[in-house]
Amino acid sequence: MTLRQLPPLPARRLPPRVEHRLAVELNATVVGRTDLTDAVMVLRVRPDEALPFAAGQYVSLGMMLDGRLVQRPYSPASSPAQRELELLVRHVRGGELTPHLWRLANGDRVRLGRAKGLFRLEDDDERQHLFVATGTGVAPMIAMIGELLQRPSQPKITLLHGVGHQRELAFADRIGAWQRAGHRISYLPAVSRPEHPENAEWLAWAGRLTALLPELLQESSCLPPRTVAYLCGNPAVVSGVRDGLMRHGVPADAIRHEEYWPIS
Amino acid sequence: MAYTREEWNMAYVIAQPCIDHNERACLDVCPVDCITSEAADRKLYVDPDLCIDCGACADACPNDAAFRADKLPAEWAEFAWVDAAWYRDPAAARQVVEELAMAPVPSR
Repeated sequence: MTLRQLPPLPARRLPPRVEHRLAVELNATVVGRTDLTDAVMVLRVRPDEALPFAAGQYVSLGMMLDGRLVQRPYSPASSPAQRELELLVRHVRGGELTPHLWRLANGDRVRLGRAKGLFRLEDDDERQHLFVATGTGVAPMIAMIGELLQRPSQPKITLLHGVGHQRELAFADRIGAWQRAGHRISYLPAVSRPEHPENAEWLAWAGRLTALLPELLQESSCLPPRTVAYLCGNPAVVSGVRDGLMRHGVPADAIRHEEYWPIS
Repeated sequence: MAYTREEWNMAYVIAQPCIDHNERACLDVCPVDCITSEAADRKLYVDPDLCIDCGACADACPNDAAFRADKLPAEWAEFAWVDAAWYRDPAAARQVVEELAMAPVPSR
């Protein structure tokens, strides 16, 4: 058989059982949104039926656009015990879905798909947990940290979060509340563009996570051989931080990562 | 090149190494549930209308069977047609899979 012998693609005529499996159902309602900046928001969505997921996993969020389901994956920041999902969404100019997500308001119906993904905590893992996120990659880590805080024996937790603008430091208030409640969380946020006018009040860490890593590890008194690391966000930064952690003695099999490619 | 991504709007394709394997690891990671098969099938199929090009299936596949369409090895180019065709006429796609399954697997 050669390529030229294959016929043109047939018209869509699936057996009813297949059509049924592929049928699209809008199964969730928008119940709130908080715009952190012009381009980043926390979207709260309530599924009609409870949607089970493990902290760190992603769900797909979809809308019907021109008669076609358009979906993108988002990792909930909310606890799996909560019915409402909190999704951290970045607007991508010219993107296929996110400009439409920006028009969503309370009461609008959307599609949520099943939870997927292997970026998850291990049971009874008492090693120090180091979370490193860029941008919206912090969302699954908030769910994971929330879960660790429920455990009877809590490991030491460090979160390094790199963003372009300080207003993109999503969930900083939640982390502060956890710290005030007495939980051992080292939170080290960094902005990569300290010269930007929006960051004029920024007095803490400045620069890219890959460059700041040695200082941040020292500041958080991270002990590499007893550390498990979770990395999420920009693929270049994830890769650079992974290399940096390995140079500091964190074993490759103790580094989990999830890359957020620029989803549109 | 007859089977470009532009022509079929095909982001990822599942090729020969999937035939008669049932690990189905891709189903556990595909964020948009765009991979399907039925009991009668010898492989899994990516729906080009739903695939969002994330590559999770390729990372997860223990048989290295999933490829971006533009990286699909030339000897498996027919599988781009097969995957797209299954979502239009499963029987027609299955028939081609039967023929392709007879072809020797190239050493890679």
